Amino acid sequence: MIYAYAFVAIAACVAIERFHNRRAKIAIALALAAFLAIAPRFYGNEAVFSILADAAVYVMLALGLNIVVGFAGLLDLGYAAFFAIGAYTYGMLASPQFGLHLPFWVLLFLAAALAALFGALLGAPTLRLHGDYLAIVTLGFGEIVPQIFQNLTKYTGGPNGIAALDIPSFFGHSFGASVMPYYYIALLGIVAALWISRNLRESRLGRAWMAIREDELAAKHAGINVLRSKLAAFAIGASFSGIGGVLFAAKLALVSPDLFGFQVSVLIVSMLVLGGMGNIVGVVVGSLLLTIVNSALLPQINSLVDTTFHTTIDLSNIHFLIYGAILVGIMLFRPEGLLPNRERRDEFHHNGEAEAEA
Amino acid sequence: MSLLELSGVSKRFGALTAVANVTLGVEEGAIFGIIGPNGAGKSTLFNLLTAIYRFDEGCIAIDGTSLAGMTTQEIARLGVARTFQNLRLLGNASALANVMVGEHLLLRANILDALLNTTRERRERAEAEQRARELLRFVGIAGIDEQFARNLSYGTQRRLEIARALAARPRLLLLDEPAAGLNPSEKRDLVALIRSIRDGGATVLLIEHDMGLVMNLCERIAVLDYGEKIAEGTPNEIREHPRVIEAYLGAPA
Ligand SMILES: Nc1ncnc2c1ncn2[C@@H]1O[C@H](COP(=O)(O)OP(=O)(O)OP(=O)(O)O)[C@@H](O)[C@H]1O
Ligand SMILES: [Mg+2]
Repeated sequence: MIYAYAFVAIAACVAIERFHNRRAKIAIALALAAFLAIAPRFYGNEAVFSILADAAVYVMLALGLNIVVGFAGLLDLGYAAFFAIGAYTYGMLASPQFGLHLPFWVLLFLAAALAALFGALLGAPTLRLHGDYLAIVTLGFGEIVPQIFQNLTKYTGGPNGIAALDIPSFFGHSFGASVMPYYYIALLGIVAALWISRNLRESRLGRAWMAIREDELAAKHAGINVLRSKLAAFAIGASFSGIGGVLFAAKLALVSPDLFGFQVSVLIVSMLVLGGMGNIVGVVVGSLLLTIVNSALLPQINSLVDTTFHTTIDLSNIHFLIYGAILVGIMLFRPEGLLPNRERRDEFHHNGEAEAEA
Repeated sequence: MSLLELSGVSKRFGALTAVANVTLGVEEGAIFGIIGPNGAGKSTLFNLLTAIYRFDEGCIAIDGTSLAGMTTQEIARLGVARTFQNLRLLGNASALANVMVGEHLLLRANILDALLNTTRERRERAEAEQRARELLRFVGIAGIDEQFARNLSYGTQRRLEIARALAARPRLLLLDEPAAGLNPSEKRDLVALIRSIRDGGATVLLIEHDMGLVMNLCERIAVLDYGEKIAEGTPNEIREHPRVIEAYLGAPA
């Protein structure tokens, strides 16, 4: 069933990408949104929607990272740090930890703001770095942030994290144990993230990012404030994962440092590479695919293997092997990703196709 | 007062003095040429003007404002735009997007406008796009708006880069060998284009190897050799100048 949902969503995305007519694109997007909104009425398996809600959070994260990496061209390998900051914002301010029980809705926005702030703070020292150096420094920050949460035991519960987080409520109606509210909020989050991504891409700021990505020196000569534009990318990108972090933490009712390690950053970068960096729809497809593989396909294969061969193998140990295989496969056969934008497709196959198309 | 003034400007790369004690004034509204053999320091001079390098000695002022300590971006704000000897277009962006990037300083939309796609953002985008199309037409490459810069022919890329520089409505336009690689008919178009840019109010400073073109186009010319300014004057004065003749024909390099 989960595959049916994923298939519909991905097929719709591909269709949106293939159609050139703006009306058709909008119609498909609306139909997909309606389908995803109404589907739970007819099929109410919580387990499926739990996975879909997680998938939706990852789509938000991927869209956020896409702003940093895809739009501004800044390879950030520590993006999970902001996911952690969002999650701990909820963990610390809506739990028995400090006896603070701020409302979920307030914390959504607070976490976005805090993540943006830290995005800018951690981005600031990297502004003059490029390529490999930038990747290594962001990787370091990605490791440091969960470490800090792990070691500030007094405030963060240390390695055990914080449990028994508040269950959010909506005008007095508690979410209870249901995952459906998270599913819907995450869907709304995706809609907002898509809208903002598109706005940014078409904006003056988006053009400045594009110029920086393509040729930083040329961008400076056009009067673009390179440092400030990069900071904006880090901050906006991080804010998406701040919101994602709150959703994730509230749904799990738990935060702990091991949830936000390097593997999460790698996973999100893989989503971008798989889907097609820079292309909004491609990023959605990439993140959907990988989350479904991660949380549905692999466990199923795992139990299939176990029941067939009477083993107790834990396939999650070889998740990285599988990502690795996927990435290597993509790099070999479709380096621009599954659904690249025109820019990237051309970059990898510059043989004048675009001229014929244009 | 001149629009651009250099006095005693030097730039060294280790033991090599790429620009040596150059003093120069460019009047507002002029088409001013800089010539000299390969490696004479012409491009380095442009790179000093846009703060890619910092000069070691002397001072440079635009309209009386000293460039010392300024960044490339701040100098762009003063109204200086340029093209590059080895083109620096945004290869994976459309021709139109390249020109629109050049318009950056004309626009006001900020980060909030960007996030929310406000009316200001949309209005500015529509205006910027309109102007960009007009500029592509002005430099003689209308109709390539949606093509990627990297797929354009060399001559078209050269014009596109000029269009991007013009998009900022510069007071001072620096052109580094704009005619390089162009065929004779393209060169004729270029001469006409540069004249109309000047007639539009910009001051043009141009580096060029094609003597015929420089002599035909420029009102004044400065000659660099081994970083030093060895001559300055009208095309006729330069043509007869003994040190110029020596630099180009005589003394072994
Ligand atoms: N970044 C640099 N580091 C070291 N030397 C440099 C650097 N840039 C330029 N040079 C040297 O400075 C001298 C002047 O170079 P420049 O590029 O200004 O010459 P040019 O007059 O533009 O020549 P051309 O007509 O070939 O373009 C050359 O000897 C060059 O090798
Ligand atoms: Mg040169």
